[in-house]
Amino acid sequence: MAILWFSLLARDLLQVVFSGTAIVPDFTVLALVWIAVFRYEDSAPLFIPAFATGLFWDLRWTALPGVTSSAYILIVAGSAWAWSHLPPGRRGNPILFFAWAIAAHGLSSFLPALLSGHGLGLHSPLVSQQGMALACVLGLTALFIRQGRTRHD
Amino acid sequence: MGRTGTRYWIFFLGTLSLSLILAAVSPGSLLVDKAMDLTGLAMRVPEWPARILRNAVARTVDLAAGERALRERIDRLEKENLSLRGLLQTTINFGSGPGVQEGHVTLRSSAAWWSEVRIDRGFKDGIRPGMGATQDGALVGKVSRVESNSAWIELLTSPSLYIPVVVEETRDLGVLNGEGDGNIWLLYVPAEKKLRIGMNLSTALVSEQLPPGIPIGKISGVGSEIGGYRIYKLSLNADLSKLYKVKVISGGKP
Repeated sequence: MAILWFSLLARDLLQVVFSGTAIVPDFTVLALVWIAVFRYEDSAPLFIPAFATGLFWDLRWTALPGVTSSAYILIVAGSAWAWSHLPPGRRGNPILFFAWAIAAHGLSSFLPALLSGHGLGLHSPLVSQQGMALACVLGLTALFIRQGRTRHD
Repeated sequence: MGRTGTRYWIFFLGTLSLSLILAAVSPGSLLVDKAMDLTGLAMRVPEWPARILRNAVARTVDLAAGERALRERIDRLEKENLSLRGLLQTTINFGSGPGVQEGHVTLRSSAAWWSEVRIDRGFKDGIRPGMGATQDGALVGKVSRVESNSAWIELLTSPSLYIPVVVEETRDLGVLNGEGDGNIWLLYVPAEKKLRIGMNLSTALVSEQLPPGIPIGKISGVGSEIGGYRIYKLSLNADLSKLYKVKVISGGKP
């Protein structure tokens, strides 16, 4: 679970560095997806950290307490549900992991914007954030493949 | 449903409902504002290296582009300009003379997008309620609340902010007020006064903290006549959609 708090701190510090320039990718949601797909059988203990990290982000950056935490909770529930309903042979499929991580990142980024009606549009910083997130998710997928092979070995 | 399943649903529904309740009750709540200020304050220490890095990078970039000298010159000219404006208004005593404090915008709530922003300068930096805030020399709003390390600036587009202004070409006085949706209007101009689109507005002599003559914007449209007074639509010189940094005009008398 330390990876979750570390990702939150890393995102916060990077956001301070890039404030006024860019929105950094949501490492926390990627960490949540990572933990949830590996702990899909017992994901209940993940909800409180997901709520706490989302609330912290809302209080620090979005000023809409409850929105990011709702997104995180739904993503944890969705990840656990999806992975528990996949056939065992497909749980290690990197394409599925990649697609789910990208979708989860998009949901957590666009939900506050959709609710507030600000920051949408083709030239929005959220679009460039998704581009940067794509690189992060590709890296995470590589780790996912490596993790799968280690387990297999 | 097994025990594990029950536990799952309790945690899932409990945390989700708490989040949704928070999202529903938090907009405009003073308690949430305090919590946000506290979070910002608590993170000042761990974020300190990141701020140092950001400022160092910005300084390096400025130096490389030769902008630093230019910015210092602009700051000096802005201070001189403010002092001259103060001198022109002989009835005003600006105390130690107006200065400027640059602050980064650290929070802009989506629920109050056109109403207020928070900056990373506060009471300790000499910021006081009522001081004006500018972006590239144009007024963007007034300081409304001050904490020790942060301050909230009420934007010109806020529906609760009224700023007396003067039309520079005709010296007619009026009051500027926002609608809360980004639109801004000039009020209380007698209908017989024929103001034209493109005329410039600046702050009028109204308080010892907001110097007169700070550029605000231009008349961009003629509105309806209400009770013998005509309203005019304004466009601001400042770009509130790209509000990352502001300069607070400090040094006036409260």
